[in-house]
Amino acid sequence: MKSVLIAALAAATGLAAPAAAHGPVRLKVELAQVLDASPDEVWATIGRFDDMSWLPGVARTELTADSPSATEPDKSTRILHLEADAGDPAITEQLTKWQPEKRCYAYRITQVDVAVLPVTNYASTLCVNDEGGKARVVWKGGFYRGYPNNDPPPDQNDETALKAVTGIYQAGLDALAGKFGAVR
Amino acid sequence: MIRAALAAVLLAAPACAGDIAFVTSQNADSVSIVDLDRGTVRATVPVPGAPAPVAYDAGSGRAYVISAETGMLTLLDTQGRVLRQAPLGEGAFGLAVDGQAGRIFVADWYGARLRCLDGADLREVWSAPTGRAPAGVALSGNGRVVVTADRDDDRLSAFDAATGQLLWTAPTGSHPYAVAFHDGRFWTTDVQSRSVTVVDAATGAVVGTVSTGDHPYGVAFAAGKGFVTDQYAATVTVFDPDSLSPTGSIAVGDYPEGIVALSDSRRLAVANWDTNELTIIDAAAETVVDVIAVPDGPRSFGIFVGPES
Repeated sequence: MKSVLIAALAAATGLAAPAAAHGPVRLKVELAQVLDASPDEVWATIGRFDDMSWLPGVARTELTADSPSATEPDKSTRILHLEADAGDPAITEQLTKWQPEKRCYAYRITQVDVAVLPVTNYASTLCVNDEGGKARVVWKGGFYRGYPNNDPPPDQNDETALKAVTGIYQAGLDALAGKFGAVR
Repeated sequence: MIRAALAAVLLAAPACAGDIAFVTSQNADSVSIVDLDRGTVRATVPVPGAPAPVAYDAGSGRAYVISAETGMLTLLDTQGRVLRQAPLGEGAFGLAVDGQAGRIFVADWYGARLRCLDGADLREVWSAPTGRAPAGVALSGNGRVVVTADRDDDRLSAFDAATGQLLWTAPTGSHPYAVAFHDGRFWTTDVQSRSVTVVDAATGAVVGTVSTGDHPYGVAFAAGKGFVTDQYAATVTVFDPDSLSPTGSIAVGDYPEGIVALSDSRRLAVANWDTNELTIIDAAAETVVDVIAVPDGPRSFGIFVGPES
């Protein structure tokens, strides 16, 4: 029953969201950080779709009941329960690519309140590249602002969306730099 | 090695020399003109307002570009000179050009209509209602039928290009975005159902569907095959236009978007939004033969390639 509900919610969200509304323009953010550790060491920490405990602000990662595993594109789905004083702000994300040989995975947000994260049609890739034996973490995303039509309110415009996503990526990379040490 | 392979292709087909591409870089607010045989950017022109849709008329050497945020039309020549700018209204989006008839066709996303404009003075010749959120526009090979992919109504609308009279509508998959004409048929990319819907241009009958990768965006034909850019899958799906069966997949950068065949019908150009590249594909070998760096966020939604003269 639960899986049916989640599938229905995901489908409804997908239909309601603009796939490529042209008034807004798709935005991109890409941040990278070289760490004082091997790519394999860092991948062991961040290369699990069902464990986002390394990202500040995430209280708990829940793999949905209908996910066969944490490594199956288009099926594996996680819910990030965020730290909050009240309520249960959450982001639901589905795995879209699983490439452990490249130390990469990709995912998209299938459900989020724009009050939690002011974006729509968000897709992202997280990779650990090898830079001279050191891990170079690259986190990038493509997305639209929260407001799908023209004349967005300030809390749902392009600038707000860019700031929010950049903030998450930076917090994650800073946490990894704190854990492993930063190079440069 | 890639250059050598490309050179061999060129030597084998001298008639193809001289194709250029108009790359709309939406995030950089610019249009770049790329010399495809040299693999170099000839000129980059600032075009504000997030330019994305484009249509190149090789006969006149003119490219029409729409800025998605503002609906401004910018007319460029092959050297990147801005010949004219005209506001078409905020909803102006996908467009197609018929150089011989001297007309352009522009979808009005917000107004749910297709407008036919005189190519010279941009006077409106006719306007006709479409489904909701018309995105892509395509003309039949003889220029008599013009269609819109009506994204929010999951349908294709076909009009008499001369008069604007509605000829037929056809159901598509979910959220059709781009549409192309090939071999008597219109082909839509159905973004949310991972399919291409194939529609008979004369009757509007749905002939069948092709399965694609995740979030198909553009479709084009070369070397007797069909090619679809899959935005989320970062692939180009290859299919047989007769059997409608997928036959292969080519890995490219993330968010491949606009795709069109070169005039030699042996190669294709693909705009890669994420990696800021124009990717050139050998249609027969199904391999990437060249990658050309372009400004941020290339989309090139429309027929953006053609011979220079």
